[in-house]
Amino acid sequence: MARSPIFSTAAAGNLLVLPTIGFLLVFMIWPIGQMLSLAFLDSASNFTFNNIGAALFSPTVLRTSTTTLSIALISAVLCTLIAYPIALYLSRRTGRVFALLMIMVLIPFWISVLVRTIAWFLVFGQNGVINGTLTSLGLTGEAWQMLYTRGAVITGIVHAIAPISVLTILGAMQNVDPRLAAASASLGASPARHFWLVYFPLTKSGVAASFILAFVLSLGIFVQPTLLGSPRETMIAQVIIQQIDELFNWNMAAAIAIVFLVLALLIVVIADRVFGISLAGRPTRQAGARRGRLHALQQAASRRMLMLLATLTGPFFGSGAPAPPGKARARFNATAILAIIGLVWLAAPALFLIPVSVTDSNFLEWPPRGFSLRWYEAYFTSSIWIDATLRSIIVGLVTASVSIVLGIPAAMALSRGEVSAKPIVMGLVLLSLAIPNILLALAMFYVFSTLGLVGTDLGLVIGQTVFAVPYVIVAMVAAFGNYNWQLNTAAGTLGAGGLRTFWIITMPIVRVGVASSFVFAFIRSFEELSVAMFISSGLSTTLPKRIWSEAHFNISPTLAAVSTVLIIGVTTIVLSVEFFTRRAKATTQKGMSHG
Amino acid sequence: MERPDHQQREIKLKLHDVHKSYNNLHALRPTSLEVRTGEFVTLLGPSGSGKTTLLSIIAGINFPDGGMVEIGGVDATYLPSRKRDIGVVFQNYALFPHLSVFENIAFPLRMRGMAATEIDIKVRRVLETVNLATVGDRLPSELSGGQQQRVAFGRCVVYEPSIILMDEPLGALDKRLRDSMQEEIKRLHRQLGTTIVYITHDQTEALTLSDRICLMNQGAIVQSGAPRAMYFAPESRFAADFFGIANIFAYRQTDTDGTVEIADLQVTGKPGRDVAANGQMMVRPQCFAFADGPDDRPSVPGRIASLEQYGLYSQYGVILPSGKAVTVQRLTDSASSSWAVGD
Amino acid sequence: MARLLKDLSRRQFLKTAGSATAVALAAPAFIRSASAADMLAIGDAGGAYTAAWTKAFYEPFQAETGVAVIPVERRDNPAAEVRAVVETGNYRWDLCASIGQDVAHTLVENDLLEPLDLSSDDVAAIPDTMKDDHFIASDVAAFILAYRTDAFHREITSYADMWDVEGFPGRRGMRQFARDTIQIALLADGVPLAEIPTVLADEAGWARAFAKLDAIRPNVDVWWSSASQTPTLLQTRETDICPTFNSRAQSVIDAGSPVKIVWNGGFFTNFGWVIPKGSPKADLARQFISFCADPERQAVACGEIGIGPSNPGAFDFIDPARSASLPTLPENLAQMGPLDFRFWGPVQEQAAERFNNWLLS
Repeated sequence: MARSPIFSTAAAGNLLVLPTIGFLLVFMIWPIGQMLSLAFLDSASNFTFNNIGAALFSPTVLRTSTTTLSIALISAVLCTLIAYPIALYLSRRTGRVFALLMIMVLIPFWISVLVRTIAWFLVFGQNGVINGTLTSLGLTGEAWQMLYTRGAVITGIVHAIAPISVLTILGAMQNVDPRLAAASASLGASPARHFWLVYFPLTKSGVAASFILAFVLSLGIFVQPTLLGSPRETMIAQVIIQQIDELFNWNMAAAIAIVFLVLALLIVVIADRVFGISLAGRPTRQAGARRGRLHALQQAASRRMLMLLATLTGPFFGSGAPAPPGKARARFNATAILAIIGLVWLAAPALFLIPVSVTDSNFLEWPPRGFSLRWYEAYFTSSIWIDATLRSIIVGLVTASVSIVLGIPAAMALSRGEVSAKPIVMGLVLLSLAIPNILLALAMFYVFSTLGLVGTDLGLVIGQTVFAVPYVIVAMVAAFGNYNWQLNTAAGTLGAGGLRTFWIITMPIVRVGVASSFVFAFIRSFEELSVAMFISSGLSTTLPKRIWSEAHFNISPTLAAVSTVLIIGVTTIVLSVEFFTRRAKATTQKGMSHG
Repeated sequence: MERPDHQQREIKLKLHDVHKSYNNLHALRPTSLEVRTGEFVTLLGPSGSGKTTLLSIIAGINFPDGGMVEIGGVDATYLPSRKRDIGVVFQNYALFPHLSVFENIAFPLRMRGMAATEIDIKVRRVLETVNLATVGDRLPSELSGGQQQRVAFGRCVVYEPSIILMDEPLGALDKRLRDSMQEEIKRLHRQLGTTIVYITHDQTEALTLSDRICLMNQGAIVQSGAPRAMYFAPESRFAADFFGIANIFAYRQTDTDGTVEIADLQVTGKPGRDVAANGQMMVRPQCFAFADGPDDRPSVPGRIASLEQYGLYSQYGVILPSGKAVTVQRLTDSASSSWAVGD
Repeated sequence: MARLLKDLSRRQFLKTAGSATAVALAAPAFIRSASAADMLAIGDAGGAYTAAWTKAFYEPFQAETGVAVIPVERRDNPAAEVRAVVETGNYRWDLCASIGQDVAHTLVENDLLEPLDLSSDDVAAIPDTMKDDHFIASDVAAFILAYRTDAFHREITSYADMWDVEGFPGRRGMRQFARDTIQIALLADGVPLAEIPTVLADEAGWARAFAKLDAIRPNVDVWWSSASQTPTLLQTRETDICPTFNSRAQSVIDAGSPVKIVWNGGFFTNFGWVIPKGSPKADLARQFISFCADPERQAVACGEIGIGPSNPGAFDFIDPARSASLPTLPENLAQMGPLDFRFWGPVQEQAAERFNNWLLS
């Protein structure tokens, strides 16, 4: 009997997620399971529930959990709000403009999270960019306290995560049929109504993914509250790290982690049930049917909500009257303004690092003093710095490739809804995103030791892939949100096999999503510190390790110089790629018209 | 209209007791079907009647829970689409949005590893056939609905599959365009001699195009036959209603030789074929004629209660003495236009 | 060595860029992990420490023995790494530099350290308070009060002055760490350093400390948690007065900023060498540790960063102007006392929980 083909049955769907599940089981669940099982042991390695009990009833854990959840929630909302107009604006640009805007979005990405946070320190400081400017303009007598506030922490977090939100939402926008706008207009919808009732719902998978991603990522954050917050902004990762490092009580660290992860998981599950926000895009048909009336009520409520939004925001969208001939519709509408403000905000802190990188002072401080290129000299003349940079690039590329190979098939199966293992995959994804890196890195060290992976670059790649794969899955599920799977069926009837269909049809159509995923995964690896610290051999340093080491004794301007080098490097690469592809295209077109 | 030579041709497609359920819901009850080479078979039915499930099983997009699919005498039950030598025209066309019209049509040829020059010739020929020669380098999103439909069709015929499956291909088009596309499809069918399995919920379309119609309801084929037979000799109330307005009358056998009486119409006679003792019969509205008084044909008095003008024909609501309402359609001509409400 | 590293990564880079990533994965160099016999990997404190240690210890050791000493990044607090290294037998580094004696004490209690060789003359010269069977100090860092002289019109001389928010208005920083901050509160309340364990023997003492903390809390602008922040905090005037380690304050002073150290009330911790238990290169590591006890070499290190040498003989080789800023200079040392980590060890967890709650409420 003929074998049933891949890509069509539930069994095949599970087959596609199997590599990812297997990978995460071996390299994440096994280590983290061992580590978390410590929660049930006392100092003499006897079984106990005392640690869990202590964590449950510890006022510190309770308070920091509440703080963490509220900061994460606000950050997730802000991330999505800021990212949406930027993504919308980007989705309508092409060519060089798109490339330039993309650079602005990605600028904060290329700077280590530590340096990025320090950049906000420069902006918010007593004599920092804002206070310095206000004072010199004579607008304020006394410096405005911005550092060590919740606002500063949230700013830092949102700034760190917003680029991810932009790319996630953008991935979902690329598949929306541009003719729909004309269709709505012909049906009598104003631009505002078209946006809220047609366009926005179509991009909801991206919004949901961005929101959950930002929320879950914020849960495990450590650097921003440490550097920008007061004790009131202490987040759960800090408490766990304190248990590991200062108090040397790993059993307690594990117990706190368990309590918090269970709490976070509960919240995500409830959000999924109540609001239908799901990492895997649309709820399955079954679930929809089961919900029946509740679902209908939700639909009605959300429709009314969207109508209201359309009415409220109507003036910002304009009348939708046709533009005068020969001229595109006004460029600077509300979207453009919001997007540009957002883009400038994303890029700004990094830009303040540029003047600081040529300071003559030994400190990363604002305003910069004097002029000196010695920090660049320190970077370029140090083989350790250069090696670290190159190694991080290689490891990042390999990690991103592996992550894409694992993540895209899984995302495909998930978004086609033909996977019974979906809850397992989503659980793994959430766990990887929410768990404090240090805990997982420490756990990996134990397991990787038995596998002989510690101190190898292979181990480093595997470890960082554990962190990077979830980004790929989430981004690709969002990108597949509007994908028309009938195209694959059609290709099948036309004679294309599953793999060929994937390469010729699916990949080109979701290419923005794929590129975003690759960039996510690369950057996740490029700035990953914990795994690098524990798993990579002491002899092969990576850029984040170097930066960490440099910041360890004194936060020096070398960090600003390194960041500037990276920003300029990436900008040059992106622009030249764009330039050459355009020239190549122009050449072929010329050739065609001649031939 | 009838093409009896089909009966002699070989069986191209054979379904034997294929069935499929989703979550204990019978999408398709055990169904058998034979399609001969060159035949144009339509699966007709309301939405949810299982016709798309049946088509997807034939196409290899879906696999049956049991039963067998034979294509050209070979078991193809679990063969992937691409190995079945079939073509599918999808309801929403499923054109590849990132490929030009030319590339969309060239796609199946490239998948078959054909040489570039040959592809060029074939695609250009098909573009001519479907009247799209001037838009080859456009993207599907830059075309009108009718043009997109023709691309979908061209993409399907370019590699000359032995069976073409069409899933409501004209559903998204306006009436005018649909009529001309129907003509187009008929022409191509004649020209290419391909076997076609066509899905529609539009009975007129089915009657116009098909050699044979399979009427489906609730996951099963309820009746199949030539369009004419389907129209005038439905075997069920459902079939009678589905093809248009049906006047249903109860009849009763009055004699052992088979004579029946239809009370509402006040007639007796022998039916042309064997029927059950008591049952229902159908008369299509255009099979009635009006007359001023009794003549040699069977007749029944009645009063016209309503009249609607449809251009070509007029539709009357007539109340019979028994109280039964009957729908009558007559060509709108000078003779018939004298009848009015109240007569 | 740097040269070798460079060649290595170049080669991998070309391969990766040149073809598929699989090539890089398959490349033998990519999965190489073994460390050669003629080198010693040290988890040191990074940054300025690495620079100073390289000049003072690593390079001379290589010159003398031919063994290359490779500095390796480690975490701020290496305790977790030592435990992981010992429990898995995967020695990422052979010995650890600049580990606090308090941390070393915890590690000893968990049986994670290799015994050291105390026999050499140089090691013998190090005071007994700065070494034990598993730990030998390389240097001493003091936790002191630093302030900006341009922010106050009077000199600050004690923690009591820090609490005097009327007399000394200015931005205050505190360490977000139970032990040090509770000590400081009691010092400000007039408890001599040596008596702190006695005072904290009962609840009244703890209540006293937290009452004192309550008094200054509204005036604390910055709670820092990583010492590396403090030079920047002092430099950019995020804080005008801030307890920190003397070496951090010294780096700001060395940069020419008007910052001064108050030795009075300071308490010092010894930082030094430990070898993770079972290290295959333990003998070589012991040899290296003895090598680093040499006073002249310690003098070189102390010239680079503001830490006090553990071997008092080092002061013979240090410029007197520099000596004045080092914590182990007898005059400075006299104003301070040692941190009683043996007292703090067992109460640390309870102190942390109470302090955290206090901070959060």
